[in-house]
Amino acid sequence: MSYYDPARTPSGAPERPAFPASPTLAPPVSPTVGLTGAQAPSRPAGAPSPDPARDLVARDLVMTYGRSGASAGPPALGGVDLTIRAGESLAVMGPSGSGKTTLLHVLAGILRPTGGQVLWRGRDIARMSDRERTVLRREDFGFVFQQGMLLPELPAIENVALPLMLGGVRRSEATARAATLFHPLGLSGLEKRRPGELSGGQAQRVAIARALVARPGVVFADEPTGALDQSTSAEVMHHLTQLAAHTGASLVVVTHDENVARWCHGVVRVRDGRIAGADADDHVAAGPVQAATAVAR
Amino acid sequence: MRAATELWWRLRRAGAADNRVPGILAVVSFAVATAALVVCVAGLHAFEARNPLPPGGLEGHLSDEAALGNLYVTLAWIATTCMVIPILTLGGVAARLAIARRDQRLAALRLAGATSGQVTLMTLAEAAAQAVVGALTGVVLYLAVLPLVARLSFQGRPFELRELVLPLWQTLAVVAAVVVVAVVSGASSLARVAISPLGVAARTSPKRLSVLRLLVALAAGAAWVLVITPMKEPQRMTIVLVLGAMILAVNTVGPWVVMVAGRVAARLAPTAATLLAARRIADDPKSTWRAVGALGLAVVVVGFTSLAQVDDPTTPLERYLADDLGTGALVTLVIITIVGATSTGVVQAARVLDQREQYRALALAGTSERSLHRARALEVALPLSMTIVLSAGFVLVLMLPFTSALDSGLVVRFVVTSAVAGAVVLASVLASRSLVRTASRVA
Repeated sequence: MSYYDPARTPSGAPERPAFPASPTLAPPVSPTVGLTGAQAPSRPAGAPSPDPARDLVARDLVMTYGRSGASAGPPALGGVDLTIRAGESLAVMGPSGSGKTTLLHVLAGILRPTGGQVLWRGRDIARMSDRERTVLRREDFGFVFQQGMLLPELPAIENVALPLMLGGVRRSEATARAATLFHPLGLSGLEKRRPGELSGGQAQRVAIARALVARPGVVFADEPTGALDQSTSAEVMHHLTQLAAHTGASLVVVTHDENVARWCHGVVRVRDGRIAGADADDHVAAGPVQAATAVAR
Repeated sequence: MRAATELWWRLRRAGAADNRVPGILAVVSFAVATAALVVCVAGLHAFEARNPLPPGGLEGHLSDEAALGNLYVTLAWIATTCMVIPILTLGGVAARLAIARRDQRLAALRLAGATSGQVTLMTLAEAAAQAVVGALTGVVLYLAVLPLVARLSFQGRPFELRELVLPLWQTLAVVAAVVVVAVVSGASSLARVAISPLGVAARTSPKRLSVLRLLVALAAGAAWVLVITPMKEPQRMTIVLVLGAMILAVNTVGPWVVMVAGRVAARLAPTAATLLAARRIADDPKSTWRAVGALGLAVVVVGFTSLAQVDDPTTPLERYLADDLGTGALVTLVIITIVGATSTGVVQAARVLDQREQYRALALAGTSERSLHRARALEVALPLSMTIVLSAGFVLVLMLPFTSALDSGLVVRFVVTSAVAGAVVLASVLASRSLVRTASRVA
């Protein structure tokens, strides 16, 4: 079993990487700066068609930290509408403190929003109990963090197999499924290595394998290349977008790096807790009705 | 030198807030170690005062009474030897804690231009300061438990408080010894950490412990058989020295056995929690052994002393001896259990603090808090149960030839006591549950 054919690893972000296995993903060519609704010409084309039963939809998300009432500060999220279609990759950009990480945490069921809905497979994540959201994160979502966050005492292969085992999969099967991800990610031969014996890029690729091993519906990546140099960062984004596309997972990447955002189908920009602009306007709408219209474009 | 001391003092004050928990853990460990050590020395002191050697020392023929008194002192020395090593280990644990938690700050200092000598000095000063605070707290703790210790009855009469109060100079000597242990183990672990400006080396595959450890233990066993057994009336100091060497030998082979067991368990582990626990055990068998080794030894001591009291006592003094052996062994077990539980609790808490980022990542990815608690409990429970079962089994097997004399009530009491001691050590893991909860809080 293999998730996809091994592809050549690009050595630098602006170069045109070859992706024989995924003709739909165009490589990034120039930086995207557009805040308009126009789709950047350099962006990977071929975003999947809408499917309300499989999309992750946020409606009028509001998030206020601290006590409610007069003493509460400005909201971290002030009414966000967003649709992430199945199999699509979306970059969330914005300056520090803009609310982009809060948005990711709310979408992933880590934080419960003060108001609004997050619909996933017909259910509102915002209304789920803590326990239900824990199970959801384990079974339906995958996570990649800035630094691998791998457990130092487990060899790479066991780090990857861990989510499956936590979900009750037998160890032999979990290990076998984890092993299939090492070759496509260019990690062959590193199965027995400890995280401390991997380079930053290798560790991050192991983290990608771990995020995708349980075949999640959505992968959330919070500054996945924040600790890496440009070329390693391109390599990691290549693998992340490729593997997500091949497993059919949607991808939400929070980043401040335009070079990273260029690997995604679309970009939304967050400022002061609101969507300030998007490079593909069908992600964003003022309300549910418009969202449905936009998605049905 | 002065610059370093001043900087240390400022950093100490500035960094107090975020380093509070590890600091408290280190101080608590030093305090428990000191209190246990002073209690041991005080007990030894009391037995020696009660049973003065007759004029002429051991050379002349001793009356039965004097010989018995002499036996008490020897037994007290043996118990102290059994206890001192885990106590010093706890001191070492505390010192490592005082130092390991500072890796990042030390690396930052090196980047800022501090020489490695200055950094070493500051670190050791920190460990010594915590040791002094902990040791003085320990003395207070000892004074607090004195009335409790004074209720113990040996040789037919309870201790008097004045028997148990150590002279000031001896108390200060114990405090000084704890500080010295802190600085020495601090220095030795610093040498291994080798603080570079870029921080300490990341975790790599652990080195395998050498099989040599097994040979050392076998040699010690042989020494016991060849040296002590043929002696008709071995000198007290000979017994203490060889026993000390035996304990050291067991401590040498213990981590090796734990490592092998951990590796086997990691290979067979069916669930995520067991796998994590087994990997942690195999990764750091020495710290696992530190937590359980002393308890295994205590179980053996308690087993032999509580089960062996089968001779029909003929004189009142002998009757006391039989009971006192049981009491003494129990006291040894209680002290070792407290020290072991502190060790385990502190090591576990420190580990959670070290890995709080990973804990949070696991929680974000949908690992339930229950799974995290489970892995930690298993990490202690696996080696602990193995050690206790092996030690208790060892005693019972050696006692098997005397089954006719074995009192089933005593056997049950011995098994229950061992199990309770194990449960107390295991319960110490619970102390850091709230740290796990904090570390794994996702929102």
